[in-house]
Amino acid sequence: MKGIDDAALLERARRGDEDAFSELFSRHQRAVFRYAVYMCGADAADDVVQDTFMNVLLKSGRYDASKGAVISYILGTARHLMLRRLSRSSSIPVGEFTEDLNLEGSIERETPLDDFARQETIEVVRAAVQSLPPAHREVIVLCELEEMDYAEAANVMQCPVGTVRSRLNRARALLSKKLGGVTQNAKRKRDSAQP
Amino acid sequence: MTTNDSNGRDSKLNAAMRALAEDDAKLRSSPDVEKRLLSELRGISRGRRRRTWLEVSLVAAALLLGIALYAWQMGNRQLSDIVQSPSAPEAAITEIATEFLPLPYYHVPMNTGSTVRIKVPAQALVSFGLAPSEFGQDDMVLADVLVGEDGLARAVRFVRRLSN
Repeated sequence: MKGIDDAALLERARRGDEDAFSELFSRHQRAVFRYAVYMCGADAADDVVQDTFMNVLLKSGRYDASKGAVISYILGTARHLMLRRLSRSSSIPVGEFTEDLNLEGSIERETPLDDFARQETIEVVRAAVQSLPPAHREVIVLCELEEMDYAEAANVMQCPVGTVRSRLNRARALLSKKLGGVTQNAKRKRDSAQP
Repeated sequence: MTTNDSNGRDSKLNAAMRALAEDDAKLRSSPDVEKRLLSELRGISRGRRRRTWLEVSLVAAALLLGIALYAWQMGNRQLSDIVQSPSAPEAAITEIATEFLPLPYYHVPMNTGSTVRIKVPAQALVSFGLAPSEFGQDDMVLADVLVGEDGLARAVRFVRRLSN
């Protein structure tokens, strides 16, 4: 199964091949899980993974290889399910998933200055990412953490490549401000602690 | 991707993203998720197999019904009626035929039967131990297939027409 490409695995899995499904699942469940953790929270991530792969299995004939890689198709399915989930729970307005927001306001609301001053750990970076508006968080997860290229991310997000590019630039600028600000804050704290 | 658009991006951010991505590598869904999905997949496969069997059974039943109807339409003509007697005065063309040769279902009991005339490649005679020396590679021969009321073919005989 290791040498078989994703498209063939998907085809076999849809015909009931359990080994093919297990291989496909092991290749991509982490990406779906991470995407779900960042977008919906860890509590919902398992459900998103399950619903996504179930949906992918049942929607025979929906995968078009010419439109992108299988992982893009799977993450696109996950995105669709998460949007539905979010619209039901109303915890996050669906529009925030797709629209640009007032960036400055969100920076002020979520900057984890004190945490970073206390511990410059990975959790702070993660928190910074999670504090981004959904549309920017999403593009960070896909392009930076999943290392997808613009076209693949655009395929998942169902938007033009230019939108991905501009959103990523804004998201990175936001993160730089958040992390840069806290760095300066930490430095000030360290400086003030010196005799 | 992280180096594609390096303008305006500081190295600290890139390093932070790399570190976060590496740390995230430990993220994975619960093992129960895969178990549940595999269980669902088995259920789907079973359902599909049942549907396939049902479809095949329906097609087979339709075929048998069609053959039975055809056989019924042919009536209960006696087998000997099919072959015109060489002595019949009105016969402009007479036929000679081999004996009925058994087919795989010949042993299945039947109450009534009908013959269906078909054309088969002359080479088919070989499989019955007959040597079609006078036939060409592409010649066809007439054959009467004996079909029971259940639609199963019991026997076949080969027919040759003779011009007067």
